[in-house]
Amino acid sequence: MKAIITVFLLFGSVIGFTQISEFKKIVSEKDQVDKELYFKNLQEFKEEYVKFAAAYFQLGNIELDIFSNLDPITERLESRQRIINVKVNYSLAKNFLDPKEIGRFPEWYDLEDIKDKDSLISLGQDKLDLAYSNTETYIKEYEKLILNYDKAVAYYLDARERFIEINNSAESLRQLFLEADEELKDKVKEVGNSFDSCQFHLSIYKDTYQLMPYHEKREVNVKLREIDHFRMNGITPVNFLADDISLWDYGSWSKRFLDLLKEEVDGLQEEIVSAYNQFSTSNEQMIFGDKCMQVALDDLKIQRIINLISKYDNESALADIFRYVIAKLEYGNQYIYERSCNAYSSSITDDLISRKARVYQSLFQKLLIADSLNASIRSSEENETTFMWFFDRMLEGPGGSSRFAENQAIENTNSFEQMIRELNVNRKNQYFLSDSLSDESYENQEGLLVLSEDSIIEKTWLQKKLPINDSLVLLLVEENEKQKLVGANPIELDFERLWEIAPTKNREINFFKNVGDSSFIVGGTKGETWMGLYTTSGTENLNLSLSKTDSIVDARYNQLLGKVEVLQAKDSSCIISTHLTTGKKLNEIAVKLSGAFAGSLNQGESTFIYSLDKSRSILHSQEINSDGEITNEIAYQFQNILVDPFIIKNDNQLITVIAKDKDDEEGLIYALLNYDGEVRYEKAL
Amino acid sequence: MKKLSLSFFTLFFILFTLQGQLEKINKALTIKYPKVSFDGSKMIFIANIYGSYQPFVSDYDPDSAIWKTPYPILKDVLEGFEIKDPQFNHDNTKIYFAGKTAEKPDFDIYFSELKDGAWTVPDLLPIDIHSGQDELGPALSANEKKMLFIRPLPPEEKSDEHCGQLYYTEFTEAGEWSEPELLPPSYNTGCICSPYYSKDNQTFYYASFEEISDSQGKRIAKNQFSIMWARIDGWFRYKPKAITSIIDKQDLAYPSFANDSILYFGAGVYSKGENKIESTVRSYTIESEFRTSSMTLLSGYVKNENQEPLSASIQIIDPYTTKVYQKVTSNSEGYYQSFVPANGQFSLLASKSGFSAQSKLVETEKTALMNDFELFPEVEVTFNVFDQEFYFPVDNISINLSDADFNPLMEIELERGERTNLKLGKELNIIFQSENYFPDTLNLPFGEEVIYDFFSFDIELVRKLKDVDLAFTDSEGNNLALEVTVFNVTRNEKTKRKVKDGKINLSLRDGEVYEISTSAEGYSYYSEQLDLSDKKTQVAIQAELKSVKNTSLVLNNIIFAKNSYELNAESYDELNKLVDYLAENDQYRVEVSAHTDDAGGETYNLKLSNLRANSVLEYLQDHSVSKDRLVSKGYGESQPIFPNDTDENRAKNRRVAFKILTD
Repeated sequence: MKAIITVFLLFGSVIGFTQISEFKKIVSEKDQVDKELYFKNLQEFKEEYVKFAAAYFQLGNIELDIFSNLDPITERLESRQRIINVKVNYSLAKNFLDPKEIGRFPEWYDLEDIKDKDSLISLGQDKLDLAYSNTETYIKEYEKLILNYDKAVAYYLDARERFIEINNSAESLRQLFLEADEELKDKVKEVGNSFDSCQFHLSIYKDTYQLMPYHEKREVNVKLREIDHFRMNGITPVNFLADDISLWDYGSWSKRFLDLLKEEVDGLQEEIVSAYNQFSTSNEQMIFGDKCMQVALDDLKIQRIINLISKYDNESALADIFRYVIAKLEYGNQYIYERSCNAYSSSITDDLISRKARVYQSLFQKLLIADSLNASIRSSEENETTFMWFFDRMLEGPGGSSRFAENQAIENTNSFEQMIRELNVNRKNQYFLSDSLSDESYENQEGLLVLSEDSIIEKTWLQKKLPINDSLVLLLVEENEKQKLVGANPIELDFERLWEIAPTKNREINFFKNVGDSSFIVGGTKGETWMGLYTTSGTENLNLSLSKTDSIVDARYNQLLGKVEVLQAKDSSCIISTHLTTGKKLNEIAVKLSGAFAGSLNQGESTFIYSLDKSRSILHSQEINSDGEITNEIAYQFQNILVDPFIIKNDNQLITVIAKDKDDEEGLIYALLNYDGEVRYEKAL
Repeated sequence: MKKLSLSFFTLFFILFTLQGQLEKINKALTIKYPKVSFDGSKMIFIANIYGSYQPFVSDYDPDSAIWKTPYPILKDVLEGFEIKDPQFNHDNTKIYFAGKTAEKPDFDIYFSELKDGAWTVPDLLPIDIHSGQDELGPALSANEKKMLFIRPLPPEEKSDEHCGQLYYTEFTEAGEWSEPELLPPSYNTGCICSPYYSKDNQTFYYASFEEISDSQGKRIAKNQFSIMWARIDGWFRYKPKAITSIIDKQDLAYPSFANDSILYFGAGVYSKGENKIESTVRSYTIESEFRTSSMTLLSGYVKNENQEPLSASIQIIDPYTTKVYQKVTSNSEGYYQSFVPANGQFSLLASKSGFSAQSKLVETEKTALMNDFELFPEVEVTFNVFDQEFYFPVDNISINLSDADFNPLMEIELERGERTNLKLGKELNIIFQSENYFPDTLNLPFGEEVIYDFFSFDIELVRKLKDVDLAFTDSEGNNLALEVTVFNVTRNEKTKRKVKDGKINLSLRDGEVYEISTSAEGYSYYSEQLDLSDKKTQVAIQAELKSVKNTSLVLNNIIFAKNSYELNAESYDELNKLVDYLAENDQYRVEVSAHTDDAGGETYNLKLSNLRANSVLEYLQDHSVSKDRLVSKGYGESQPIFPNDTDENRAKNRRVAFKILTD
């Protein structure tokens, strides 16, 4: 038995010796043979001697080296197997380790030999423990690395796909902005979220990658490419395995998009609604109100809105609407001022009529601007596709811009027409020509004119009445078939007679004109033609018989020079006579007209006589100098036929013509002429 | 009993398919090398129909589930060739086969390509594998990156021309085919023939002449060919296994698959020395362990903008590794197809020289996935050139195209909103210029991927600015704190700027017209127009504001006709400035005064001046200045500011002035 044991021991030591010498040989060739052969030799050795710790240690080292040369991403299957192999080998090495072996063969454990064997053994054990523990870390970190890499790529791909989907939904960024809804905002947020997640995982991948024992490491530099152009940038794929990973910066794009959306589009929406509502309210007050007010024009605010709208859609109907709004507010402000703050004084004179004509000229020019912008709105109806929400919400849906423009055009024309109609009524009042001035009977009772309701006892008719001021009304009355002009103080419905002008002989009063705050001219024709200049206190400053019997059609009083100019017309002729208030006749000029007398005015040293030809669409002008010579004759061609034209001097540049419309009993023609035969503007109201 | 019933079932199944689906193919009875295409639509084989062996193809009719009557293929291009082992590539546009000719009497690997509807004369496969020995049984993977083939056994082994050893080569990342590797003995267990790479590019099948035992160790195949399953997945190599369920007494060879599960193979009798197995074709639904990995047939069309087919390159890329999984080319009908692993993500990049490139990310969740591309040679673009500050469109733009290095190419003229076509393929730089604006450049990476055929670019040009220095002092040279109104006449834009110490530098838009106006508390107004389109315009203004307290300031350019109090229209500009001044200083009450020279009588002049002052007052009143704030007074000739001794001095004395009332 002992012999058997001895034989076994001997056999065992022979085997042990053989193992050692074979392994020594393999290790000694480590640097001479290539790695693959060394690895193969160790594998074969290990298969034969399964409990040889150093062989496992060396195999573990080689497996780790192979692992460290692999690409963790593209060779992940092998990487995963190799690092497990490393762990298995180091584990078996630890398991089968005879510490003394380290002391005897330190080179098997890649150690330098030292005398202190205990330290050497301890060093070797530590080295093996460290290698094992590092491997465990590598296994854990490797999975983390793969997981985070894959997540980073997956999130990036997700961001890109979402980004492309958004890009597919509009042809331009502006269109995308304008059509942005909550769903789009969510989509854009998701692009940003995915990109943030990508960066988060990429950062972990980068950090983890640096912990791994790879021999050649990528730099994993992340560079962000800005997305400048919609549909052009952010499309191309990214190589996540490059040293410099150049990512399209969907994160910044998403943030910028949402910020801009909030700041510009949402903010703009609020501004648009607020400005439009403000306009509607102001417009209502200006056009239909009667309070003396002025709307503070915040042009800058509206201009900013227009600019922002134009930024997104330069042809938007909404921009045209706001351009119009500015013009309309300017028109409205002048309109309400004129109507409610600068109303007519009670005394209508040539000067006042001219003033008003100038004001309406300015108003009309504002109206023209508004009308031209209004026309732009109507021509841009097809451009309602952007800012659709506005038309839906504020203007009752598609076609809202046209409806808005049409309503505004009607409103503008009506408001201006109201002004011109008022001017026309006032000029008639100046001439006692208003049909509606009076048609009442009265009783003459000792200084009082008492309005009578009893038509049977009527003896006296009140033909015309013209308020001059609160305490003076001029009344043209007929008593016993004779006309009188009475200056009276209004007392409730009746009048206190202050003075009266009764033409002598058999004269009639058929011309009246208020020519100044305290002067009026009265005249008439019956058998002969007479005229008188009176003050509002009833004083007669001039009374003379005219040499011709033609009816007086106009008269002017120059208070500065003390001159009265009387125009008489009959058929196609006109006589202009000029008289001083002293009664002296300065001159008398006969002019052959090109048509029916239509009006006259003085400009500088000249007198202009206007006549309407038979067609009633051509107005002739004859300029007569102070010597009575016709110095210029021109004609104005109108688009419309003029009925009963009224000619007003605005200033030295423009003339206003107001006429009835032949085709529309209620209608008026408003025109502005220069002195050179040009109808600058003509509008049927 | 169980085994018996399985065998019975197998036999029944085989007989069924033989009589059913494959009847029209098996009519020939002398079929060699049958192989189903990767997409399962075609089966190619060699058959002796008219006394010689020729390649034939049968098409599969999915509606009737029958292989249709075979028809000859490559007939016109194989003269002088003896061929074996034909195989379609992934999209059936190539046929690989082993062939030999009188001139080259050993078998090499050839391919013929379908071009314009006709098969080309066979060409040697451009892989450096051809030796002086036979190369047989080419089996290219569906992605055409791996290949198995057969070379004869060493002379000492018993062998014939029909079978040999299995070799493997693959296309490396370096862009070359690897040195053919004789697969280890675990694969080369017998004399091997007819390898077949399945469409998953990993699993392969072949026939091996060897003894096979079942799981209980019972020998079930002896001296006959059996079909083997094996797989190489990168570093991992799976040992071959015999598909024992189909083994019967006949020799089995020529494995191929119509889909993931139906195995087609030839069954017949191997006649040693005659180098062939003349067989019939059978099919069998194989057990899951021998199936290929699930693959998705990815296909689609590439067309141009007119929907005409395009032959373009489609790279199938793993987006995670950026490795090109496969590169395929669409055929003359624009059709392409490839097999990609199911349940994966792939980035498809279609490109063609002179056309846009396009990539799409696809997820291969189904067995088949269609994805079309539309490539275009040029794109339509519009350039919306805006003013960067005010967003209004800038006109008169010069648009110059240059290459990536800014070498000029051409100038294009475009109306606003007009579209133009730009060719793709090269990076472009476009330079936009307009007078009074800084130029801007737009880089168009047209060398990169472009997936849209229309772009609308917004270009915001920055207006050049001109510095204008303004200084405001009183008559004693003291700087005045005030507010300046800067009115851009060109753009009808008004802004206000506070001036603390009397000096301000304004950066105004070059080429535009401005009106600078201001007034200070207790001082008159100042207004000046600056036309910055005029290069001579002064850009430094020193303005002296006059005190209005207890002082009358003469209004310039107030014109009346002689002996008249009617304002001429030429007076309006100056009066409008006064209107603005009074609107902005609504705390002021103002006396408007008029003066005459000494011509004419004193009474007359007094009356005239009164009327003229009143005319000015009425103008102000008509322009929104309340009458309550206004007083008019005519002074006649009583307050001359110059002696009435010359016409010039008299003209100066005829004046209208205003004064702030301090009561």
